[in-house]
Amino acid sequence: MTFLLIRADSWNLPLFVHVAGAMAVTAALIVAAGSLVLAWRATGEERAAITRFGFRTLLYAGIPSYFVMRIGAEWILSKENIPSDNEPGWVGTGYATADLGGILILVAAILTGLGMRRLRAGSGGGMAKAATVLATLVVALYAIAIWAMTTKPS
Amino acid sequence: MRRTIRGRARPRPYDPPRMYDTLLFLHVLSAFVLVTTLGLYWAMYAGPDVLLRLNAVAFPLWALAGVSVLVFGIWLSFDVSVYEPWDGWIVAAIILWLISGAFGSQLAQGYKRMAGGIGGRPTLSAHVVASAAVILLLIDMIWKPGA
Repeated sequence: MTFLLIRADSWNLPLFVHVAGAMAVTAALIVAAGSLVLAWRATGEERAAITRFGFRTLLYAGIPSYFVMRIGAEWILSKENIPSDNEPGWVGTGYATADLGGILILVAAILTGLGMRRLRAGSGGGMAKAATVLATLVVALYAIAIWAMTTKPS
Repeated sequence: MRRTIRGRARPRPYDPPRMYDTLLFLHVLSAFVLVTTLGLYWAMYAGPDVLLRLNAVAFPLWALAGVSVLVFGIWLSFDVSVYEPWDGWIVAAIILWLISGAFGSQLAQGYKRMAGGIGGRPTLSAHVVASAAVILLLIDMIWKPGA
């Protein structure tokens, strides 16, 4: 049996919100992680400025776009009418990566914020480094999510 | 053999990766990398000058993602029987890709020159046009007008 899946027009806007949010959150995470990596090697005021930029990227771009992605995900899922007691594997993968990723983004933002404050006192570099690792980890999780969303394994 | 979307002969205990899924994954992944690179350019525009070092990553990423998003996209259009490369929405996507590519390359070269101490920051309009073209590309890919 060969079958053809054509997306209903009413799915387009929720899908756009979901994908645009996912692209924005991924970009924000890479910008934040890249900035924080540069902060590792910097010193003094330059280090503080880069860490502040990484923190603001997570706070003003990463977290809001995460919510856009997550709201879009729920919206498109509600359109697809997938029974909650028989969800396909890719939906579970999406939930797992999105929810874990959300927690990690929040923790990374808090760590970067605390690290930024402590940098003024001459410490706090470790927190920013931990945040860099967390942000990179979320990007890896989202790469898995992109694979799951596009290949839709059962 | 050209296939319909998600077409398969019959369910099998072992289902090898399907070409359509693989191409779609690589196409979408390339699009994510493209948007991420634009994010890096915006960071270099808005952030401290030391962020110009990010161009060492952004420059090759922009070239790689720009080419791969087009290659996998056109490959998909050949692979799926309901799409043709000359469909209106695909032609529109190629035009938008050319616009984003032209302005994105302007950003890549501009930041490379700036990092080398020659020239100033690329213009805000180049950032806006490259980003707008990518957003319109995403809209075109999702709504597929005329498909």
